[in-house]
Amino acid sequence: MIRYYTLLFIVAIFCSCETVIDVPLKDADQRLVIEGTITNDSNYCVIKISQVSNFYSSNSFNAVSNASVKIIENGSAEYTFLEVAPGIYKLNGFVGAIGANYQLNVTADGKQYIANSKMPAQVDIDSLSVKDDFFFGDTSKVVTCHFQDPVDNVNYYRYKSFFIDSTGKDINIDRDQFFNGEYIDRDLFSISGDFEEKYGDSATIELWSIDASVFDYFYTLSATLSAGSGQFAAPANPNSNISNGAMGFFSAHAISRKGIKLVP
Amino acid sequence: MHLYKITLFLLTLFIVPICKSQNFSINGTITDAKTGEQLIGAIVTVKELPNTGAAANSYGYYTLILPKGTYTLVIRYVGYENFEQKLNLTINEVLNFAIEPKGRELKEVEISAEKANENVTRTQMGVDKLTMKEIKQIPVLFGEQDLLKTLQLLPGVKSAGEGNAGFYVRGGGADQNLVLLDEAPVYNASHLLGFFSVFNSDAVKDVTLYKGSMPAEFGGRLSSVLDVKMNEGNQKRFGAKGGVGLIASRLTLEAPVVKNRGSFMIAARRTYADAFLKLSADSNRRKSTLYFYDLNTKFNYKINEKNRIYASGYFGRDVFGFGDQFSFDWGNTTATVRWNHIFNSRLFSNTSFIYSNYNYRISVESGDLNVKIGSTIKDLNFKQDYQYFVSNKNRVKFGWNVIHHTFIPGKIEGSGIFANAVSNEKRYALESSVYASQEINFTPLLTVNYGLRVTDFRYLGPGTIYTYDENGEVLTTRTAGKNEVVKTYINLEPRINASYLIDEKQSIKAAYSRTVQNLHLLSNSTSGNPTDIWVPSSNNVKPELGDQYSVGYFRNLKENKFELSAESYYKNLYNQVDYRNGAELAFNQLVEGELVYGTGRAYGIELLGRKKLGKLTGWIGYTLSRTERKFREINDGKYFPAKQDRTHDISVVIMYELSKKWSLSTNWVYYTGNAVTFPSGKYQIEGQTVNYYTERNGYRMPAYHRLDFGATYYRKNTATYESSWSFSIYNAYARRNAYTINFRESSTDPNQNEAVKLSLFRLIPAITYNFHFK
Repeated sequence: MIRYYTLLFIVAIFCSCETVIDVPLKDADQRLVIEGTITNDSNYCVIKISQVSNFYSSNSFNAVSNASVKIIENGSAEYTFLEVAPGIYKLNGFVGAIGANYQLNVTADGKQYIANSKMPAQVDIDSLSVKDDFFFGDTSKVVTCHFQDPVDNVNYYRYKSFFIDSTGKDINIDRDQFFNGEYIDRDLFSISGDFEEKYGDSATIELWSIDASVFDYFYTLSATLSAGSGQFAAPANPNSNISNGAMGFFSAHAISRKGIKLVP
Repeated sequence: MHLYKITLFLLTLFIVPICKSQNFSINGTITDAKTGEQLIGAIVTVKELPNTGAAANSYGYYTLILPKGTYTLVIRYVGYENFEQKLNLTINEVLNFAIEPKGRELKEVEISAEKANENVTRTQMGVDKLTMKEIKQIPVLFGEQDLLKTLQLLPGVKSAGEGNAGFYVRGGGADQNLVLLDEAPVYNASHLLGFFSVFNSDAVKDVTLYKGSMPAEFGGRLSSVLDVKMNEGNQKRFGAKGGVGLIASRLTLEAPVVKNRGSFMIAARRTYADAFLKLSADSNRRKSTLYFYDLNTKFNYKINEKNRIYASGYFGRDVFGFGDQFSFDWGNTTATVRWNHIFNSRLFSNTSFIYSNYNYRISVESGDLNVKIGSTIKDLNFKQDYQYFVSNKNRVKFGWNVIHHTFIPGKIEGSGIFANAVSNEKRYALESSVYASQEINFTPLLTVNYGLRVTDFRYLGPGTIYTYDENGEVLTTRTAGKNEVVKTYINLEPRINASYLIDEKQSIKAAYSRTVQNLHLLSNSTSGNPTDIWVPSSNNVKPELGDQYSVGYFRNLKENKFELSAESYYKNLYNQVDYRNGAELAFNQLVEGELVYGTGRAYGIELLGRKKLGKLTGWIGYTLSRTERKFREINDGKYFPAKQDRTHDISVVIMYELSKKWSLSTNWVYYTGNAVTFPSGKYQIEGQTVNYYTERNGYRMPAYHRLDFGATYYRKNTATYESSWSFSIYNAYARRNAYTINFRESSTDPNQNEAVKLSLFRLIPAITYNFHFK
C-alpha cells in the first residue's frame, strides 16, 4: 500500500506531462538582428546581420544582405566590412586593440543602427584543471578555470567552453562584484556519464573580458532563453546595446584561451 | 503629534454620549457548551423586538442595550442548537451563554446559525465567510484541506494557478492581500512553492475574507484582508484530534489549564514525502530532505469577568536539502499576546502585542564553493482596539497601531567566488495608524458604516540613501543616521458602507474605500517564491494607493433557503510597482533603481447563488472582470492586461448529505486563461534560436477547467469519539490544464520550433483518515 502511494505521489509531483500543442502566434515584424564582435583575435571580428522570422518557420539564419557595415575605431579610423557570405560581414586582417573604443554603424533598408563598445583589458587564464565531482549521487569530471581577477576596476567575464563537438551553448558570465581582486577557481562545465571513453580528448576554454553593456545583454539573454510562459514573470527581449530597436549585441572584447586534456 | 491630534478629533466626532435613564445593558460572552470555545459572530436576538439584535465580536463578546422590560433572548450560531432565555431587565446584566453544538443528524431543514437573512441585512459588502465544515467537505488536491484553496471557489477570488494556495482578489496582486493569523501578518502564506497553505485546518476556528470595503480597523494592503483565527482549546476536558493523509499527518491536543477559566491548544502537521527517500540505495539521496511542518499553539486564561489574556504562536518551515551539499529552508514565525478588557458594559478593549518574522536560508557547500545566503522581514507590532456601544443602533470602533519593520533584504557570506560578497544593508520603517469607525442605523432600513484610517509611514535610517535618475542610475548617495526619518508618508483612508433594506428579503448596498500599501513584494513568479523580497516605501518608492467603488443587490428566496447576490466593483490603483527588464532583485543594494511605477484599473461583476439549508447545499459563482496595468516603460505606455486578468471565472460547489454515514461533495471550476507573453517571432544569436517578443501579456493561456469529487464516511460518531474517512478525486476527467507553455526548438526536428504545454496533476485520488476524541 505504502509503495503504491509513494509511486502515486512521485508520479504526480515529478512526472508532469508535456505535450506539443498548436498555439496561433502573430507574424513577426521585419526587425533587424545584429551580432557583432570585435576582438583581439582576427578570426572573431565579424558582423552578422539577419532578420526576425515567424516562430513556426524553419530555424535558419534569415540573412540580410547588402547592408552598409562600418567600424569606427577611437572615433576616427573608419573600416568598411564587406559581405563575405549572405548576412556575414568581415574585413580581412582586421584585429581589435585592447582599450580602444569601437563604434558599429550599420545601414540596412534605409535605417541606421549604431552601437558602441570598448575593449577591456585582457585577463589571462592562469591554468585549467580537471577534478572529480559528486552531485546527486553521480560522479562527473569538472573543468575548472583559474585566473587572477584584477583589483583595480569592475570586470565582466564571459566563459566559452569547447569540448569535442559540443560547443558550450550555455551562457556563462560573471561580474567581479563578489570577488574583486581574488584568485578565482571557476568550475565551468562537467562531463558526466561515460567520461572514461573521453580520456585523451581536449577541452578548450576561452575567457572573454567584456564591457558592462555586453554583460547586461547576455545576462538578460539568458533570462529570455530560459523563460517559459505561465507561472513566471513575463519574458522580454534582452537589453541590446544597439540603437533603433535592433535585436542582438555589439561587443568588443579581449580573449584569453587555454586547452586541457581530459585525464583520469 | 499629528496622529495624537487626529485621534482626539476623531474621538470627539464619534462619541456623543447618549444617556437615556431607562436603558440597561446586557453583555457577556457566547461559548460552546462542550468545549468553552468562544463563538465569533454568534447572534443574540430579542423575540419581542424583531429589529434588535447583536453579534458577538471576534472575541466572542456581545453587548445589547434595551429599555427596562421583560424579554426573551434567542442565541443562534451555525451548527448549534438555538438557546432561549427569559429575562426581566431592571439593572445592567452580565449574561454569559453556553450553547450546545448539534449532533450530526439529518434534518430536513437545518436552522441557520446566522440570523437567517444576515446576507441581506449586513451593512458590510464584499465579505466572505467560510465555515470550517465547508472547508472540510470540499475536495482539494491530495486531500489536504486548505482554506485558501476553498476561498478561491468564491466569486472575486482567483487562484494563482494549478493547485496553488496563492490568490488574487478583485484584480489585486498576490502581495496585496493582508493575511492575518490571530492578528499577526503572515508574509508568505504558502508551503512547497505554493501547493499548500500554511493553515492547518484543525487549528483554525474562523475565516473571514474582506474583498470589498475593508473595515477601518484593517489596513496595510490594497486588495483584501484574510482574517484567520485559531482555536482556543477545550475549556472543559482533554481532547485530541488528527488525521493521517496521503502527504501529511496532523495531531491536535487541547485541554483546560484551569477548568472553565483557561485552556491551551497545540496543533502540529508534517509532510512525509521525504520519508520514502530513506528507502533509496544511494547514500546522498538517503540524506536528502523535502518536507514542511507547522506548529500552532494557543493559550488563554480568564483572569476574571473583565479580563482575559491570550497567547498564540505559529511556527512553520519548509526544508529542502540534498546530502551535505545543499540546504534551503524558509518559513514564518508569528506570536501574539492579547489582553481583552471590559471597562464597562459599553466599552470593550483589546490590546495586542504581535511579532511576525519571515525568513529564508540557503547554504551550499560543495567543493570550492561555500556560501550562505539569507533574507528576513521582521515586525514588532503594538495594537490597541476599542469598541464602544453607544446604543444598539450606534456602534463605534476606534484604535491605533504601531508597527516597527526590519528588512534584511540579503545577507551573504562565503568563500571562493563569493569571498568578497557584501550583504545588503538592513532597512527600517515605522508604520503608525489610527482609525475610527461608526455604524449607525439611521432608520430600521438604512444603515451606514463609515470610518477613517490615517497611516503615517516613516522610512528610517541608519543606512545609505540613494536617489536615481529616470534610467535607474544612481544620482546621489548619502548616509542617514540611526532612527533618522528619511521620508514620511501620511495617507488618509476613508471607508464607507451603506445598506438599504428594501424589505426583509432584499437589500441594496454601496461602498467606497481607499487603501494604502507601504510594503511591496518583488517577485518574478506568479505563485510566490520563498526568495521573493519585501521592500518598504522609501524616498524612491511611493506608497501604493487603491480606490474601490462597489454596489450590490442582495436577495433571499424561499424563506432564506436561497441567497442571491450581485456585486459590481471598480478599482483605481496608483503607484503600482513593476521592474525593468533584466532587473536583479536579489542581492542588489540598488534594487530601487530597478523599479518602475504605473497605475492600474480593475472592474467586474460577481454573481453568487447559494443554498445554505437542507440536505443539499452549495453555490454557483460567476465573475466577469477585467484587470489592467499601465507603465510608461511597458507596451509603449498603453494599458495592458495584468497576468491575473481573467474574463470569466465560474465555480460550482455542491455538498450533499446522503445518509447519517455518508456525505458527498463535488466542485467544478472554469476560468479564462491568464494573460501571458508569447513570442511573435524568433531569430538566431550565435547559432541559437532566440524568441522575439513584441508586447506584454498579449496572448492568453488556454482556459482552465477541472472537476473534483469528495466523499466522507463517518465510521463512528458518539458523544466522545468521532472518526471518518475522506476520499477525494482531484481533476476527475483528467484535463491536461496548461501550467506553463514553452516555445522552443522541436525535440524531434531541431530545424523546427514548437509550443510545449506542461501540465501537472491529472486525476489525483487521495484518502485521509480523521479522528476526534471530544
